[in-house]
Amino acid sequence: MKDVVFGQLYPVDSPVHRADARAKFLIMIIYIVTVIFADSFMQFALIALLLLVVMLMSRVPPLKVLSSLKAIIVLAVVTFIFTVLLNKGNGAENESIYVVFGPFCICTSGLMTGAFILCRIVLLVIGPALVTLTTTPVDMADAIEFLLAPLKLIKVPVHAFGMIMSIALRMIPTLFEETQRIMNAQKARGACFDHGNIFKRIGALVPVLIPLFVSAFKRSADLADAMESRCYNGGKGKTRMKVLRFRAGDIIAMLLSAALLFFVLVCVYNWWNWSWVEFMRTGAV
Amino acid sequence: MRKKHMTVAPPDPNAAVFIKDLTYIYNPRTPFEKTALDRVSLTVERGDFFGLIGQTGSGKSTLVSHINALTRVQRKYNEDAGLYVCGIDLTVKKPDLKRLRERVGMVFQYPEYQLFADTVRQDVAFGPKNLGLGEEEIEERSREAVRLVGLDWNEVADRSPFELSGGQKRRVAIAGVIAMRPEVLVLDEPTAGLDPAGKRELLALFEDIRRSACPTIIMVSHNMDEIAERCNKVAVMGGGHILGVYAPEELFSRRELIRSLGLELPAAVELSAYLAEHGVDVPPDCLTEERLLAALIERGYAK
Amino acid sequence: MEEANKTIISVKNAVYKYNRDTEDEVTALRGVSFDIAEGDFVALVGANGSGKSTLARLLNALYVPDEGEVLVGGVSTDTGDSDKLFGIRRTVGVVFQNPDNQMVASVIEDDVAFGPENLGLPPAEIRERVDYALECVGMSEYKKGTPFRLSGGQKQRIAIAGVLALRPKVLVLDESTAMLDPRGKKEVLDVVERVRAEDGMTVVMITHFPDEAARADRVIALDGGKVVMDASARKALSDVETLRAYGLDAPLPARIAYEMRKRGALLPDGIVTAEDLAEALCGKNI
Repeated sequence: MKDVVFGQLYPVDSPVHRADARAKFLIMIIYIVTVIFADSFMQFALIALLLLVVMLMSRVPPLKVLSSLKAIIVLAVVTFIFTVLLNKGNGAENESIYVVFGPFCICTSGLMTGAFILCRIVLLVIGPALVTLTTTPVDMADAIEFLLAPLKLIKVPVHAFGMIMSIALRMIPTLFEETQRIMNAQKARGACFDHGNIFKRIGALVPVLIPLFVSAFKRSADLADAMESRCYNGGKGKTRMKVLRFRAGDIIAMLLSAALLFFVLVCVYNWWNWSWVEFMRTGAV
Repeated sequence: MRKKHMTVAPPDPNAAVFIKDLTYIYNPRTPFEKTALDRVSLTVERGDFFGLIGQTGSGKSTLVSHINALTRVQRKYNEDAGLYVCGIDLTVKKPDLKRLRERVGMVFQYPEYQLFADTVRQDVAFGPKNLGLGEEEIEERSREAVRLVGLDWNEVADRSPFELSGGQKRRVAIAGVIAMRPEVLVLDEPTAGLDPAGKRELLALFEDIRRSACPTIIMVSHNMDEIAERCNKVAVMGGGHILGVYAPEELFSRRELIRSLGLELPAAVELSAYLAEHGVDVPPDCLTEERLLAALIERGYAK
Repeated sequence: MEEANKTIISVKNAVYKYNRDTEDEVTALRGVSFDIAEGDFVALVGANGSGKSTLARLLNALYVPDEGEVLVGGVSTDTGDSDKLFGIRRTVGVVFQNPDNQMVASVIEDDVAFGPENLGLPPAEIRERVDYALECVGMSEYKKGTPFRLSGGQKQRIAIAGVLALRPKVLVLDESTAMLDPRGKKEVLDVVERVRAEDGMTVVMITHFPDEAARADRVIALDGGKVVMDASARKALSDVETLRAYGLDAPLPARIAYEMRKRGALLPDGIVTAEDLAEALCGKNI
């Protein structure tokens, strides 16, 4: 049960694991924008190839990465079916219509669009999955706090958010264990948590939730005492032991991802009418 | 493919708990895999005050949580294992959990953290109610249980358990378990966190309960004084194995075993050994304070 | 030259009430007074509910007494000045009972850094203090790890390191061994022994284990929010009857000596340890 703390993390050592979490977060955002702009299968192929390289570098088993798709498989299939059925065809010459029933039909351009959206969903899931698989929740919380820092200018209490995230990450496994322990104690007194209708089940949770709240309040009071004892003052004048610094690799990776975004934008808009861009537009939808 | 589950020879009919070759593996086939129990065998007879000792992580908790099926037998790793508690077979796919929980009471560490109801009356009645008993029966059992833990029913029944003192809360929680009238009572570090007087009183209470209500007690404890004082048999666990089951006298004379496991000796044994070594005429392995004192008197150090 | 035993904590007639001026008012401390000098090793004992944990919170200004006062290094804890408050909390570090409820970060060294970070120290100095504190408690090799897989004793050592990183003069342990197994207890007590020997740390150990109290030089016993005993450890812990009256226990050798005296044995006063008892009994049988 203690393993919840690791969240998604796949604990091996790799250059991707060691990369700065803030860099990974920024790259992830650039990546998402890139995937959303990309408009041809050829561009997807390029992105997928680069993603594959990162995945191999990360030493996370490909099956583990692919298993992150489980969560969205229903969504992806439903999206695919609707896209195909609702597409009426574009009337082009090479268009063939396979099946027609009522207002729906299955045609070449529908299948193409469906496949294109499917690819986009898969890429959008796998990229961020790679980030969560290679980054500890603590580093993620730190990265989020860092990236939110500009909000301090408009008086958003970013430090408090950071502290809350840090404590939540620290306490979740403890409370999880506690829940397990209380459930066991009540089960030993004959309580049943998986019988009856929804109302009965919710009612059965009362003997778990009340002790859990009592204990959570006690813990938070204790924690407040401990923090105050160690001179916590709401973060005023606080310094940090670990000064975050981007390393060369992080910067190169960020530049590369920015270059990829630029490349995809060129392919999409072809501002300078370069001829090779046509190649990258193979399978445009 | 389904594998056939072999039945183990019928257990000793008098045994409260019968365990044979029980294995348990945490997080199997992951980087966190850990064998918590490795073919453990153990028999607890009816009427035993049975001690279970071993360092944290030795497998005690996993073993104990099998006894009332809070941890279920991993059938995959236990094809030839046996686990019977009060005659109920827990290795089958669907053991009779209701009957089991009626017969095995479990007092967890810091049991006061399981209190939840508005009044002591309701909290103690929770277990009996889950057994589906009638109102009168529930009331009678609750009264008896509260009396057994040394509290005054009229005084506490309608008070909130949360406004009681720490020691009283613990007693109410224990009453909630005893009200189910179990045949086997499992105690996990029952006196942890209590002051010396509280510890003494609670321990004496369990002796009363054993005599009048629940004949078999299994106690997990790090406190060797309590083990030496109360238990008639003690099982020693280490690294997922039962290293032996001893009478307390025998166990605590094996000083090397106790030390090698990082466990402590009862204070009386420690003291009598020290005295014997330093020229006082006294046996080196007096188990309890009373015995040490008796030995000193017998040898003429006092009248 | 500095005086050898300078008073560092002074509690003067302190009264503390929970839920003051409400229906649920509970008086936890009813006029407690004592002084603690630099270098002292004091055991503060008392049954559950005697007020000892409340007192721990008075010593570093988590609570301020309703009447009387608490002085730390001559400064009253009743102050609104955050510099003074920081000064008090840097002087008196408190380690609490539950090791799980004292950690704020999921990486050990980050947790230990929490105190010095709050003080606003430069990163290099924080690093130095964290490394030193982890060294002190013997947990350096775990510094990059998470606390979840640690034993109770190890977690509590991290909590002590978190306090030591503030470089306090007084270490208060509020029943810090109560939830630990014997090995964990020993780990914590060894750390206490070490900071006393190496840094001359002043230690206030709140406990109800007689064998732990026996390590101290002086014992203060509380009952019902009042000091009922304040004496040398030898004197206090050999007084079996008084301790029992307050729900406490004396160490086993003291109890044996007491029972033997009751049965007419002529034993000297002040028997607390196994050595004392062996010496007193040697060759005394008929």
